Amino acid sequence: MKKPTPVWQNLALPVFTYAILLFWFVLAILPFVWTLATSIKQVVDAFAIPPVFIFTPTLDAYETLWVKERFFHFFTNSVIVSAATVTISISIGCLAGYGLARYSGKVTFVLLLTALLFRSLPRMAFALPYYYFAQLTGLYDTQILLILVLVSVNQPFTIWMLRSFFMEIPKELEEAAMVDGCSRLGAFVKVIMPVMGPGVVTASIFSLLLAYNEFLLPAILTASNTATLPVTIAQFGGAEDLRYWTVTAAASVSVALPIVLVVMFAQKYIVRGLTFGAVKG
Amino acid sequence: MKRHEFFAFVSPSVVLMVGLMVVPFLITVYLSFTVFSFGTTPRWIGLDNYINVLENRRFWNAVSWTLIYIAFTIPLQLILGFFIALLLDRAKYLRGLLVSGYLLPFVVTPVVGTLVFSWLFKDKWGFYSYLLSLAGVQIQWYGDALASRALLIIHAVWYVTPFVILVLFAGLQAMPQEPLEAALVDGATFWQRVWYVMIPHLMPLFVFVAMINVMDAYRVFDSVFVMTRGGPGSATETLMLQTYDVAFVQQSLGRGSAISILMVLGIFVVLIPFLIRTYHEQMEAR
Repeated sequence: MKKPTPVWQNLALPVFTYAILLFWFVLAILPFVWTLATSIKQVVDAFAIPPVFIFTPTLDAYETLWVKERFFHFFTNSVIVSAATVTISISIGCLAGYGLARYSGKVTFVLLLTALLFRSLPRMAFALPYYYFAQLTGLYDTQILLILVLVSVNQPFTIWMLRSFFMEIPKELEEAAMVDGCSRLGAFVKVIMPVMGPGVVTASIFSLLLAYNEFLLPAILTASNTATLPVTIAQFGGAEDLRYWTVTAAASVSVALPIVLVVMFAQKYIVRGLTFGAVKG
Repeated sequence: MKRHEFFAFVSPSVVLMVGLMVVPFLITVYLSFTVFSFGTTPRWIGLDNYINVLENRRFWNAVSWTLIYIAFTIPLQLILGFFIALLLDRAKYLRGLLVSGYLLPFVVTPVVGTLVFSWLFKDKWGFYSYLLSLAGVQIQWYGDALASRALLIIHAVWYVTPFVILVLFAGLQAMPQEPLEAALVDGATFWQRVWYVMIPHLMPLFVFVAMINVMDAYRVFDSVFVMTRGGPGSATETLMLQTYDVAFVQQSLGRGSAISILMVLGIFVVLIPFLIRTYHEQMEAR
């Protein structure tokens, strides 16, 4: 005969569960929340020990950042580079992903594995000659080379992911169109691409994150003219003058905010992309 | 699809990848056998770079620290990640909000994430340092070699565990209910179900996540560069950081290339089983 479970045991488990989950939640977001608070503090309040929780907020740091500093310039750089990278990545990635999904010769698998191999190598294994190549061709500190490099570094992940989305679309769809007189390319553009929405969105978000977040490649390929935000902020953070902390905090918030928005509105796609390769479907 | 159509579709992508990854990689291999700095012509010296690097104490320091970093971060990420995923699977409310928060450290620009994390540990005015000082604990997170290493490991756990949580949570959600119910009927306790039913079921995911995390930890760069720049001394200099320093700061591209190629050879230990596994999966799916 089983004893009935005491009431406290029924309650203890959910309480324990939520206590741990919320604790981890706080640990995860606290650095960001703290930085947000710092960015609207006066410099004196920012360094107060013990920390002050009630203070008069100010937007001075943001004004310094966006008006006096060249932050807007670097922000624009990041926007241009990210937008171009996503556009090119997805265009050529869709073509390749479709080809890889519909043709299964030996060459398909060689290509896929080579892509995976280069996705897994330490960046330095192919990024070392970039600087020299950039100087040689006069493309150093231009956006063109940076964009092309970001696109190519991002291709392996993009083609693997888009291929898996294309494989879910039945072949009969384009075959019917081709019987009706459509060319292969015509069927691809008019019949297949219109049903690829979720795949294109997911792959775009990940291209965007890579281009926007990348530090090493723009650090190698750009200087004061075309540097992107991660490079700029790394220099801010290295500055020893601590009075600048509130401004660096404002810069951090400004860089992180677009991503926070993406997470809020596209969580479903991000989760799908992150678990891609691990969990089917 | 016909063969020529296939080549037409994949060619733009392949041309770009060959031009900007495969060719530069081959150039790196070549440069590793030369003496070269920007503005000079490469001079062939055979294996000398490799011999120099392998005889260099600084190189082995970076190797050992990189391995220590991997050995501590990956188990911590997996255990914590699984634990949180397990709880998240049981939670009925607030899931969307919790997942959004968990995602932040992993998707926000790594340079920014590292900066905002690192501030909390600054001497005196960092919030966590302040809390510790209330408990009477004073740790020089940036001045002491051991503490700096510990800090980078703590950061890696904060930064990468979200990825483990998400993958394992997705795995738990997709788990068939029958074996769990059968175990329940047999009178298995919660932890018995976790140990005998869930963990075996999730094993492929554990392997997948561990491989990805090992490869990422092996080439860690952004966070170390921002937080400690390899210091104090060279206590936290990882292999990638050393490559960067040798190639771009000291401008010995030949030696930098040699370290890079040695790193590539090292990652093959993990990578080859991964590639073989993927190959088999793809052939089966075909």
